[in-house]
Amino acid sequence: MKNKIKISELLDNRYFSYFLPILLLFALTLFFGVTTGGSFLRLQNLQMILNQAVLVGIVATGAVLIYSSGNMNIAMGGSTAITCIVAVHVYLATESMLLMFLASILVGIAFMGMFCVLSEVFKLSVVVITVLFMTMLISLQEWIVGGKTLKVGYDAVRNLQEMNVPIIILVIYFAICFVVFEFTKLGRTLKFIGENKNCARQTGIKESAAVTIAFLLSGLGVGLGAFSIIVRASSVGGTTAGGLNMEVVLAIVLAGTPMTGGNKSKIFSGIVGAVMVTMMNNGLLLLGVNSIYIQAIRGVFFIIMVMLSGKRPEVLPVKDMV
Amino acid sequence: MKNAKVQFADLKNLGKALCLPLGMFLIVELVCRISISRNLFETSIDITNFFKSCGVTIISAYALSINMSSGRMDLSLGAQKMVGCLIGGNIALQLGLGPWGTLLLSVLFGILAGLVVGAIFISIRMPAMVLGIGMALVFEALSVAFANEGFQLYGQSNMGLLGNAWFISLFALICMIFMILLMQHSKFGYHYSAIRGSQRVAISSGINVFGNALICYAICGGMISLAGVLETGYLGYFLPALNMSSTTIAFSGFVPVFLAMTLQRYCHLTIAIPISVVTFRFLSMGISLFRLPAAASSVITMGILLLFLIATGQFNRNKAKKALQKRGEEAAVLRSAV
Amino acid sequence: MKSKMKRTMSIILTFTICLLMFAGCGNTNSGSSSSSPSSESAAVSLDSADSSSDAGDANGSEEPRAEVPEPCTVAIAVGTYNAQTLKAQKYFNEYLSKELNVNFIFSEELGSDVSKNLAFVENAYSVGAQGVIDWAMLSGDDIIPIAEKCEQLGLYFSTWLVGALDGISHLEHVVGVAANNDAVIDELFGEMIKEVLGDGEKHNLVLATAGAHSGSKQQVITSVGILEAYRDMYGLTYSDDMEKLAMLDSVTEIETGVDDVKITIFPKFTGDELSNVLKNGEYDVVAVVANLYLRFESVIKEIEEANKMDIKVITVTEIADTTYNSFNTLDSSGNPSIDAALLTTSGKISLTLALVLNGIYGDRDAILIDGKPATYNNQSWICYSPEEYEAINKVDTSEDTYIYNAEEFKQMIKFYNEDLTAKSLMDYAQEYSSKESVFERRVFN
Repeated sequence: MKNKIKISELLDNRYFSYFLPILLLFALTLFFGVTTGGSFLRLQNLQMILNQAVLVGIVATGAVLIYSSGNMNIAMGGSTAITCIVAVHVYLATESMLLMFLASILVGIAFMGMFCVLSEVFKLSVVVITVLFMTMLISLQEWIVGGKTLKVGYDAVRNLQEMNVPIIILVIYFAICFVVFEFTKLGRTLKFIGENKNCARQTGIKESAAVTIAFLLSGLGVGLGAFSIIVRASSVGGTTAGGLNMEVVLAIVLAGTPMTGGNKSKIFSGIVGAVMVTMMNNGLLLLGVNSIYIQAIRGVFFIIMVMLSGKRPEVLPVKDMV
Repeated sequence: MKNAKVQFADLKNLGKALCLPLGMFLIVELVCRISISRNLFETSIDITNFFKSCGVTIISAYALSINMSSGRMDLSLGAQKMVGCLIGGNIALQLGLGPWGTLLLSVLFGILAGLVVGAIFISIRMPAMVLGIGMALVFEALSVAFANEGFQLYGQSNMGLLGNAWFISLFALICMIFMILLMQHSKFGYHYSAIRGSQRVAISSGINVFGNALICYAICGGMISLAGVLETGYLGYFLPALNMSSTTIAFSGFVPVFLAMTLQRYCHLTIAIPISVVTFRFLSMGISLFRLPAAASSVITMGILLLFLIATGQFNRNKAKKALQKRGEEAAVLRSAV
Repeated sequence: MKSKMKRTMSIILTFTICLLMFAGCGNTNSGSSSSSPSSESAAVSLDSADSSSDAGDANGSEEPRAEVPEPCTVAIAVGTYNAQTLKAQKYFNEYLSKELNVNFIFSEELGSDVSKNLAFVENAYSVGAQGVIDWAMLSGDDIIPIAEKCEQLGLYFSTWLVGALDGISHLEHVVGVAANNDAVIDELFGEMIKEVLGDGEKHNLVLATAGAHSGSKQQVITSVGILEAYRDMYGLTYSDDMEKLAMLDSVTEIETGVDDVKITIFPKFTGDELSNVLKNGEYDVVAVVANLYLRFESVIKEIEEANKMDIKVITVTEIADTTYNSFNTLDSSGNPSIDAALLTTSGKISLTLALVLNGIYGDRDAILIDGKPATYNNQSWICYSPEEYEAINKVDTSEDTYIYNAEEFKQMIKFYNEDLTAKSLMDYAQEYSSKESVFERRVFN
C-alpha cells in the first residue's frame, strides 16, 4: 500500500510527469541499444529515425497547440494530403519551389482557419467537424488523385533532401511553437482553457481568439508537413499521409499530452512521441520481430504509456459529441 | 401513459422526421430523371441492394451510436468487427457450423472483444478515443495473425442465406426492436439516459455507471460483428486491415449517426438512425447513377451533411433568439402593466 | 521559483532536442562509405567479384570461390499481404532461408505510399540488409526514389514492376526486373477470349481495366490484348487508339462499329459500381485485368440470378483458396463462377530474389544485357476448369510442390551455376516457370 501511494505520488509530481516522456525515450533508446548489440545506436540509424519521424513531428507539434486547449483535430492527415496535392499542382504550373512552399503554408493555414470558422461562427462541435472532415478529405484525396501519382520529379527535390530541409523546418517550427507555448500569454491561455473552460471564461479570457490562433499556428505545421512530404517522396498519391490522422494522436498522447489538454500538455510531445513510435518500429525490426507483432506491441505500449501519464479519474471520461 | 396531446405531438414530430427521407427520395429521383433519364429503382437488384446496404448500415450505426451518444468515441469498433469476422467467423467455418453457427460465433467473438475494451476502459478510465486507437492496433494484429487471408463466405455451402436481402432486413428490424426495448423500456435504458445527463448525479443515485459502460461496449462489439458477417455474406469476402485502417471502417457509419443525433429533437435516436440511414442511401444511390466514383459520393454526402448541420444549427439559434426576444417583449409588457 | 526552474529545464530540454535534431542534418550520402559491416562486406564482395570477373574474362579465375556464400540479409518491401505474398513469405522463410543461408526481413503492408517504402528501405539498411526486393504497389516513377535510396545506401534492388527500368537502369545497384511476360499476356488473354466466347454468338463485354488509367503498364497491355481479341473476333472498328481506350478513367461505353456488340470500359474497383453497369442484363462477359475478381464475384452472381443469365468471367487472379472457391462455386447456370483465369505464379517472386542474390554475391555483371539491367519474364498459367485448378491449387503449398526447389533455384544464381549468363537465365526462367514444366517436375496428389 505504501509503495502504491509512492508510485501515484510520483506520477502526480508535476516535474516527474512533465519529463517522463523524455525519460522513457532515453530508456527506450538504451533498451534497444543494449538488445541490438549497439546497432541501434549507430549515428546513421539515429539519423534515419529522425528523418522518418520528421513529418509526424512537425504536424503533431502544431496539433499540441489545439489539444492543449481541450479541443481535438483528427483530420490533420487529410488536411496535409490535400495541401500536398494543391502544392504539387502549384509547382507543376509554375515550376517554382518557393511558390510551392508558400502555397503549402497558405493552404495549410486556410484549412485550419476553415475549422475555426465552422466551430466559432457556426457553433458546430469540433468533434463532429473533424470526424466529418477526416472522412471527407480522405475521399477527396482519392477522388482527385485516384490511382495516379502527382509527381514533382525527384531531381527537383534532390538538393532539398541533401540539405535536410525537413529537419531544418522541424527545428524552426518547434522553436516557434515552444516560444509561443511556454513564454507567451497565448500558451498560458490555451492551457488554462484546457484545464477549466468555465473558469477561463469567467476570468475574462477570450476563448475563441486563443483557439483560433492555435488552429492557425497548427495550420502552419500542416503546410510545413506537406512540404516535407513532397521533399522526401517527390510525389503525392491516393494514400499519401494516410495514417497521419491517427499517428499524430498516437504521438501526442504517447508523449504525455492528455486528450483533455490543460497544464499537463507538453509542446515537445509531438516530436518525442513521433520519435518514440519510429524508434519502436526500427528497434523491433532490428530485433527481428514480425511486422504484424510490432503493431500489437505498439498498441500495448501506447495503452501502458497513457495509463502512466495521468491520474485515474473518479468517473469515466466523456466528451460532448454535439 | 402519455396523454393524447403528447402522443399527437410525438406523432407530429415523427412525421417531420420522416419528411427527410421522403424529401431526399423525391429530390434525387427528380434530378436523376430530368438530367440523365434514370430512376433510383430500375431493377429488382436495386431494391435488394437497397435493403442489404441499409440493413447492414443500420446495425453498424446502432453499434456506433450507443457509445457515441454517451461521449465515448470508440475507434476500435472496426477492429472489433475484424475480430468477430476474421477470428470468430473463420473458426465457425473450420468447424462447419453453417450460417447460424457462423453468425452466432462471430457475434460472440465481437461481444468478447467489446468486453475486453470495455473492461480496460472502466478500469483504466482513459479517454475512449485513445483507448480505441491502442486496442485497434492490438485487435488488427491479432486478426491478421490468425486469418491473414481474410474471411470468405462466397462459395461456402449454405452461406447464401447470410447475404439474402430479406434475412439482412429481418436482422436490422430485430436490432431496431431490440434497441427500442433496451433504450426506452428497460432499466438499462433509463440508467443509460441518466448517465448521459450527468455521471456524478447518476452515481449518487446508485446507478452502476461502470457496469452500464461495460454492457454498452459488449453490445457494440456484438452488433458491429453482426453487421460485419451480414456484409460479408453479400460482398463475399472480408479482407484484413493493418496500420489503423480499421478506424475508417468505423468512421463510415458516423455520417448517419451524426444526422440521427440532430434529428433527436423530433424522435428518439433509435428511430432517427434508420431514418438517417435511408436518407443517405437514397443520396448515394443517386450519385452513383451519375457514374461518379465512390469517393465522390462520399465527399458529396459529407458536404451535404455539413451544410445540413450548419443550416439546422443556424435555424435553431435564430429560433432561440426569437423566442428570447418574444419573452423579453412579454416581460416588458407585463412590467409596463404593473 | 518553481516555475522558473521549470522554464530553465524546458529551455535546456529544447536545446537538447534541437541538438539531437541537428544531428540528423548529417550527410546521409555517407551511407555507402559508412562503417556498417553489411555495406562493407557487400563492397568487398563486389570488388572481389569485379576483380575475379576481370581475371575470368582474360585468363580464368585466379582465386577459387568459397563453396558456400557468406550469410546475407535481404529485405522485402510488401505492398499488401495477399495469398501469393503470404505463400512466398513462407517459401522464403521456411525453405529458402535454410537452403541458401539467407535471412529475410519482411515489411509491414506498405501499400503505395512512397514515404513508407523509403522508411522501410532505411530500416532495412539499419538491420544490415544487403538487398531490397520491391513487391510493393508502387507505379510508374514512384519506384525512382526507392531505387535511388537503395543506390545511396549500397543496397541491391530488384522489383516486379513492369516498365520500372525506364528511370533507374543507370543505377549501379539495380539488378533487374522480374515480371509476368507482358510480351505474351495480350496473346494469352486473346486465347482465353476465343476459347470462352468462340460459340459464334455476339457477346457484350465489360472490361474492368483496374489501374490502367493510372499508368499501370501491365494492365494497359492486358486491356489492349482483350480489345484486340474482340476486334479480331467480331471485326470491330474502334473510334480511338486501343491504348487510349484502355486508359479511360471513367465508365464509358466505347464505339465498336458493330451495333450488336457493346463494350464498356470499367476503370473502377467496387462491386456496387459494377452492379450499376451490369444490372440491366445487357452485358454477358466480364474481363478483369487485375486481381480484383474477389470484389466482383458476389455482384456478378446476383446479376446472373436476377436476370437468369450466364455471365462469362475471364480474369487475372492468383493461386489461392479463394480462386479454388470461385472455380468450384457454380453460378445459376450450373457453370463455374470463373470461366477462364490467367494465374499469376510465384515464379516472378523467386526471380526477384535470384536477381538480388546475384548482385549481393558480386555477379551483377553476369545478369546484365548490354551493360544494363534487364527484365526477366515469368510465365503466367491459363486455367479453364475446376478439374484443372484442383492440382494447380496445390502449387507452393509444401517443399514438394514449390515451382523452384532449392537446387533449381540455385541454377539462377551464378555463385552456384558458373555457366549462368543473362540469356541462359532468361531461357531458364521462361522454361521452368511454365505450367507444363512444373507439372512434369512435381507430383500433386
